[in-house]
Amino acid sequence: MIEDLLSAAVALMAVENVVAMVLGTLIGIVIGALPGLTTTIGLAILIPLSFGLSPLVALGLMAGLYNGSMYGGAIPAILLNIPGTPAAIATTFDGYPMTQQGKAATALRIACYSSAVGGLVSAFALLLLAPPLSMVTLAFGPPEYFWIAAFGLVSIAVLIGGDPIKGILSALLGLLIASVGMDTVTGRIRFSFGRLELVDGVNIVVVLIGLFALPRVLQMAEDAAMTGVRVADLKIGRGDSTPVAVRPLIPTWTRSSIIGVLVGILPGAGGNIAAFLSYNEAKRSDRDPESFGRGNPRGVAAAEAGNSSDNAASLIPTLTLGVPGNAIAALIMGGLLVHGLQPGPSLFRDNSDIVYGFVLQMMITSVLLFALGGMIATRIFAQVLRVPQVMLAPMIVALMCLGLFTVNNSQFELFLMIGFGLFGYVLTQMQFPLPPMILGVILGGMAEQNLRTALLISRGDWWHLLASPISKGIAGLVVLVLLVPLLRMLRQWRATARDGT
Amino acid sequence: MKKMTTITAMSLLAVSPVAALAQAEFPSRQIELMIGFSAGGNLDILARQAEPFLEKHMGGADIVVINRPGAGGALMQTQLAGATPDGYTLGLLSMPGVVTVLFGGDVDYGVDDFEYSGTFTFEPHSIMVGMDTPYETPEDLIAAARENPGEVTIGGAGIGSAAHLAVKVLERAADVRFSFIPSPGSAEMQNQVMGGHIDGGVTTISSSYTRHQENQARVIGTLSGERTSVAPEIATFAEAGYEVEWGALRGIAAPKGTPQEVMDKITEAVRLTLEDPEFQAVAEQNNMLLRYMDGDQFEASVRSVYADLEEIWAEEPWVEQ
Repeated sequence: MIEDLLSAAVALMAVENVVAMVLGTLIGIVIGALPGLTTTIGLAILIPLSFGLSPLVALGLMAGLYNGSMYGGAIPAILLNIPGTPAAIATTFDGYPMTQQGKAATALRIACYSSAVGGLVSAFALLLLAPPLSMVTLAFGPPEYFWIAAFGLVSIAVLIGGDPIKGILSALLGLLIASVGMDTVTGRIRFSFGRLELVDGVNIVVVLIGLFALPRVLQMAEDAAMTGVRVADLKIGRGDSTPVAVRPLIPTWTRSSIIGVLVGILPGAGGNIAAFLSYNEAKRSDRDPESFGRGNPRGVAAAEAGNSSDNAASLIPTLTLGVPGNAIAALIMGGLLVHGLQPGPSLFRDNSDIVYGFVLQMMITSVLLFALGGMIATRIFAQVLRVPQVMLAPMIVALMCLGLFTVNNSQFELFLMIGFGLFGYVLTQMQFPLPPMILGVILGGMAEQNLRTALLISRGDWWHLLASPISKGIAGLVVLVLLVPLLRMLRQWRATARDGT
Repeated sequence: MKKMTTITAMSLLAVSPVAALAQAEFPSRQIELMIGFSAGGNLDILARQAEPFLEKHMGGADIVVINRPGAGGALMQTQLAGATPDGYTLGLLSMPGVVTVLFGGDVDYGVDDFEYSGTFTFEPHSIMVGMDTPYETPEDLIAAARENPGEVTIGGAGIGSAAHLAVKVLERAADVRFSFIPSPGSAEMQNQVMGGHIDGGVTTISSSYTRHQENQARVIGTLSGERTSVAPEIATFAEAGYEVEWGALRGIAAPKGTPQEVMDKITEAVRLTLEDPEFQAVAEQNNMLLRYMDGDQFEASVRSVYADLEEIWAEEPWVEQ
């Protein structure tokens, strides 16, 4: 492992890899800072475009974009009370009050440092946990993989968004899409409508781009925001020259980073939940909880360290098991697949140079935030807020189509992508969460394949599914997660019953 | 009316000399070499490594490699079968995938739709087993399958894949039954073998041999008549008395009707490429097992595998209809 790390580190020193990381981080900050653009849309555009690049350069861009955008989202959150990404919602709570008090510069600097610290801790967690986990996963056979996929599916459906019913429906739609194509267990072809393009199933990258980029673009066009933010509204202030007092923030950082890493490893939650949880925890444990929401620097630090420490950690199950826990991890997985890298135990064995390189890139791009997110740079990044959003929409569509076409030279996939985009747009209008659907596509095939393989091996004995202790453990977790909405309902019912009397 | 005749006359005039000229001067423009799989796979690597050598041995031709993945290569093969037969659209075929997809699917091309040129590589399939299994030799595995029919689990990429049909062919040669466990791909199968979830699996020798060298799995034999140069110590099933020859044969084909002179030029370029010491060095680096066949031999091999599969299909179709 040490050897792999060293050789990966040497490879990363090549000029193109350094440029990729710096550029990726810069693009990430800009994308995060633009309220219309999020990490998911940024990755959805970048992945097909990066197809022609060498895998390490492409992954460097992705790592930078991921970490950069998590900080970028804080810029409008602090300056304008508009979260640039969903993960930056909690940053507005104390960030904007600080701006109102004329402390915008300090708030931005704290956000930047906190993002960097969170990202770094997260990358260390990935480095320490993923390789040993990838060795253990050989012990995972079809029954274990079935339960893992089932666990991912139920937790995403139940935990994402407020409405578990819509979450489950969305995941079921994903399962339906996953059933297209050849059934490996019988060799029969399902739902291909005679199109050879669908025999291998729906290309996951097409679904990712269609669902995550197009609905957002259509919404931008619909909003038709012709003007950007006025210069007058962008007051960062001179900023005091005194350095930010780091020491009082260390306990907050520690707590938030641990929360973020744990949230990242569990499927279903993403940066926004990590940020909320660590913000609440910081507030609860503070000596003066009342000061939160009124411009407490620790509030900004908790939110930003929380959402960034989720980043690399969420890739732990993705890289070792091939099970992405949230939409961003699913996109990163798509990015690996485009370059022919199959996540799972074989990734660390057969492509150790690339995977360790990627882990280091997650680390390095976090540190880059210290340099790139400095005051002068942030002033410049804030200017992108002046770009009218309506101008971005056609550019994004062009980039998406161009990128996708280069991957497989297939016109059919372009139409399929647009089809998924329109479908996704209709679903978002109806308040259906899209991440359960994409994870349904990825995990549905995995659950089906492994369930049937397990039954083939056991020659029809269903108890084989619960034979090993690992299977029993994960199956127990599935049941627990399924109980969550029931418990919620029970609590609500009790509350209403109590109110009624 | 007058206009029409002029156009017809002009096109008549135009076609014949141009066609002749095109053959004489082939290639006079860019040649597309299509691959039915995504970038990064074995076939893609072969195409991209061979491309500059083919260009060199075709008198500085301009060849571009294009990936058209889908339906296990069938998408590309269908396009190739329907392309203009002028030598400017070629495909790199991978046997037995070219013919396995013809069974039980919606594929509408046939082995007659191509002109066959030279081949580059032949890589036999092999059987690997877990380190904890008692099987050391082909005989051990066959004996176990004979004793407990349908209980020894052998994995491989999906039903109807080359790996699955390799198991079928072996079953028929040795008159035994395995329990075939399909997996999404060779990598997943290897994980299951190494984790002890299934007894063994089928994949090409270069990928199974890596696991063998790492002591993660044991390769007990190749499905071929001769031992391979990459793994000379690995026995063959033929040595144990089971006559099977099953592996990935990769060569160039063009749409039916491509002029013979053009095909000869391409085949000659393939032959010279395989004789090129520089290409041989590249091949060794990439663990490629070079095997040259001319167009007739390639076609004969494709037809013989197809005939074998037709026989198996007639007796025990592997996809329910």
